[in-house]
Amino acid sequence: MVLEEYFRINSPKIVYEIIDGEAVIINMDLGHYYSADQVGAVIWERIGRIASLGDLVEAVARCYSGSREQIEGTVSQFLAELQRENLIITTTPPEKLATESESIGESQGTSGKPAFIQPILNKYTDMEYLLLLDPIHEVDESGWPNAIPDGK
Amino acid sequence: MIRDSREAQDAPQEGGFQSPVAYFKVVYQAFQRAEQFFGKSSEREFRIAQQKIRLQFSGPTLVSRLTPALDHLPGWSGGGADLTICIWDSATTGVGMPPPPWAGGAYRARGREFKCAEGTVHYNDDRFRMFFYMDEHAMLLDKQNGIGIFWVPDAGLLPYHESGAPLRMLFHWWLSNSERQFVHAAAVGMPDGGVLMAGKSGSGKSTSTLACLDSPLRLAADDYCLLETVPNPHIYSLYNTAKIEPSTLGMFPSLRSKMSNANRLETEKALFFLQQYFPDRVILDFPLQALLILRVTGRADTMLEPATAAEGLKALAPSTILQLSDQGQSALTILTRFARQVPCYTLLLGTDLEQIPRTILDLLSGDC
Repeated sequence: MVLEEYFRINSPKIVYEIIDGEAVIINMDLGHYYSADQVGAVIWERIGRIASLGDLVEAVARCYSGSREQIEGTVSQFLAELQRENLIITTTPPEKLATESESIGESQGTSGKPAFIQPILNKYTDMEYLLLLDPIHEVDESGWPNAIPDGK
Repeated sequence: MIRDSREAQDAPQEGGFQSPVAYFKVVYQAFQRAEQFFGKSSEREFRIAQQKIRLQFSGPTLVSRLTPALDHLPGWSGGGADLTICIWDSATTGVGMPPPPWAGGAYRARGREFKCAEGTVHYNDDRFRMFFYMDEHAMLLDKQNGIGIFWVPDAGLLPYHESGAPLRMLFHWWLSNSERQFVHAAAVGMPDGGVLMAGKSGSGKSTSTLACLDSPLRLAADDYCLLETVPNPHIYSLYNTAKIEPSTLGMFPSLRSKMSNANRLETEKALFFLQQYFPDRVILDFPLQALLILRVTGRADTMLEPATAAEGLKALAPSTILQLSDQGQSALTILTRFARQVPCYTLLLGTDLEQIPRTILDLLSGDC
């Protein structure tokens, strides 16, 4: 993963809100939902305005203290996890750069920052049954809802 | 299956894409033919959240299947309906539902969405909403003209859950907007305030609701209701039903004789229409003071623990949005607004049912 690669939320299939510093994320296609707080919420909120790996490392480093190498490696792993879950996709750079003042967490002096911790993506699959109602029935050319008989 | 596809196939096309205006007209004409079968249609009128709604049945068959759950809602007089829902079934009228004219697949273009998958067909644009669920039912809405359509192949085969929470997709489409949302949650309270109880199926929503029957708390919903968030959080009752697993009936012995489906418990939950037996225990609406996340503990005592707004949102939003919403982001925004408006708690449900309303009443009175 290169620092200049840009990512965006995979909307509209992914919907989300950030509440009390925690990102609540729903995959409308699969019925899975997720949450991420602290470092994970900082990353997610920043991706919401389109961000590169470099932007994300900057955003996390402003809020948490830790070595640049450690932050970059961990953020990179977290992005790979978000991509595996199809929550984010690569995109072109934004035409206008987002203002960093909108980010979760305030820019703080080195002494006041909490220590960097690994971001965690919590995944919940207990609602996917809502989208797995029935098997797909192929319909013939005369239209719905007559299913093609088995074996045809 | 009775089918009526000729008119739909003849309807005009828009660049290879069947015009939803033409298709809706064909379906409405099918309803009018169904109305002629009985000669005289039946009507029911009621109000939900200041919206005047009329149900227009092609005949008497579906009236008794769809209206008991709505019997508690107040009627209205004067002026026309905001929404008229036209309802018919094929078995008794001989009039089929014109099949959706669009081919399978999933498309999103020019403000329209079409999806055919998992035995369902969806169509959405700014004016129309359409949903077909296999050969079980179809619902269509023309928002511009305030006309809804509800069709089933055979009124006698209407699933019990459709009798318990009838027309919910149509109500969701019509009543949900940027300030309010049809939600999957239970609600109990009094005219000056109450609570919304969230949790997935089996989390105790119905049990907690019925546990309040013998308390000062009144029942607005056990599964679905309408949440308004502007200017302040408020809940509106839609259905006066409660449904519980037959294995739970032993907890409510006085209800056993009041089931509407006592002879079908092998395949159905026990279904109660509360308005028929407890009309003074049903409430139409109230301001919301808290969001409760339900959790069954197996212990005797019921307890309340503070929860975060994010925990409340996770309990309320996924099941609401994945079941009901074709506008996922706007629905999540409304639910997030609500989770910020009221305090959230986890209600740890005990087996001593009397403690459930007592704990909620203590919370509402500020004694917790």
